[in-house]
Amino acid sequence: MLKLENITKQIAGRPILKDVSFEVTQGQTLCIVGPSGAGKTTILRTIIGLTNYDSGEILLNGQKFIPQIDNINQGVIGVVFQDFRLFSHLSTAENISLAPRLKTKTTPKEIQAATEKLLAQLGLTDKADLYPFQLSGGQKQRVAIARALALHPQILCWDEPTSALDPDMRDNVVSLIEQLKQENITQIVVTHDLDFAQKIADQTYELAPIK
Amino acid sequence: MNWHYISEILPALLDGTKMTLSIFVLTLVLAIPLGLLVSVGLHSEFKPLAAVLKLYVWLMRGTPLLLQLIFVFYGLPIVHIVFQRFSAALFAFVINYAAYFAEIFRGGLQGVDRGQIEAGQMLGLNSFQIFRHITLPQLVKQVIPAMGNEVINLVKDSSLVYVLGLGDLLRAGNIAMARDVTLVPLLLVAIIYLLLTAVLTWGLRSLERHYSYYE
Repeated sequence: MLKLENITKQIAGRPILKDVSFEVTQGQTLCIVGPSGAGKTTILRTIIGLTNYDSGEILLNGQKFIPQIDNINQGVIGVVFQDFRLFSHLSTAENISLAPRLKTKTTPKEIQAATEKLLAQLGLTDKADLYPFQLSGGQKQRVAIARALALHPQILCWDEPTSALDPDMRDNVVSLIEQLKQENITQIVVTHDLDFAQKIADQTYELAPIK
Repeated sequence: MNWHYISEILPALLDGTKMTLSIFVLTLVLAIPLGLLVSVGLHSEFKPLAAVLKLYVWLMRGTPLLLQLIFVFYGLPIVHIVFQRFSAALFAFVINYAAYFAEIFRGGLQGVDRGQIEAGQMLGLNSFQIFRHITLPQLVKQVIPAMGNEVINLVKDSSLVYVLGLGDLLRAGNIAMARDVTLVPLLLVAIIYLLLTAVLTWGLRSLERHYSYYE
């Protein structure tokens, strides 16, 4: 599915990533673990195209893949940010339907139906008209997941999904990741929480700080 | 209070108010989009454009509007750019206020969380879609209070058009005062300005309330 080969990156002459190589197959959940400063978020940002890398190669389904932001890789990779990054001026339903409305050729009725389906799937039906500031941390996270899933990505990336949540909510995230796994969605999860990683990972990649 | 006298001078004052409102409305309609474009240009990665726009903003904010009015009407004809009185006034107001608005918008743009833009990029939105659907609505909410001050200043600044011989509200009051040797016209002028700013303040508060639906 997605393979990274010897990805290396320096920032201001300081090595951040060195020969990072791993592969995640369809429907698997890969956890990238390591202490703070090991480059976990940097590797995630590299995969989603928000950060460039200096050398190495990324392959998607055996083909060379250059992660890009904007519409080039639309539908390939979805991301749930650590701080969710919901659009504060849009309601839950609007957050979810914005990208399909602007980026796909589906009709407004179809978009509404798909949004309602995602809301139901993530237990957000009664939150459809609420704004992000009216939601709890866990609810915001579920909106962020729904927003990412609305474009049917092949791979869903999570950045530290448990860092802003209490222990109960952490268990909910475990369930959500399991649920998405049942739907054969490939997931890459960056976390510093080894216990959490153990619960969800099919495989784990450990990043250590470069000395 | 001599009601008869008031009813005599009121038509002239209301005519002046029309001029004041014309300058006010047209300046707002033209300077807001221009200011928005300038603020985007100030963030441009094309350095010469950003530098030219910075110079423009510095010039407009660093010199009095009165001077700019005089320069546009009396100075530009030297280089064969000739404006009618009203066009000259409008041009000077638009370029002056666009510079102030650009600075307000620039601050507002900086206040929009970079993460919101990244989230838009990750959803495959292009730069225009991100600006139109994410940045702009959040920018509007942030700039309303600062814009409110400028809008109210604009009503009062419009009285500067007297320097080009245009008959605005204050000029109409001044003429009546000089002719009739009484302060009553200026008192009426003050009341009309207060009414205008009261309506604007109410409108701006409503706009703020409208955008308070999210945090």
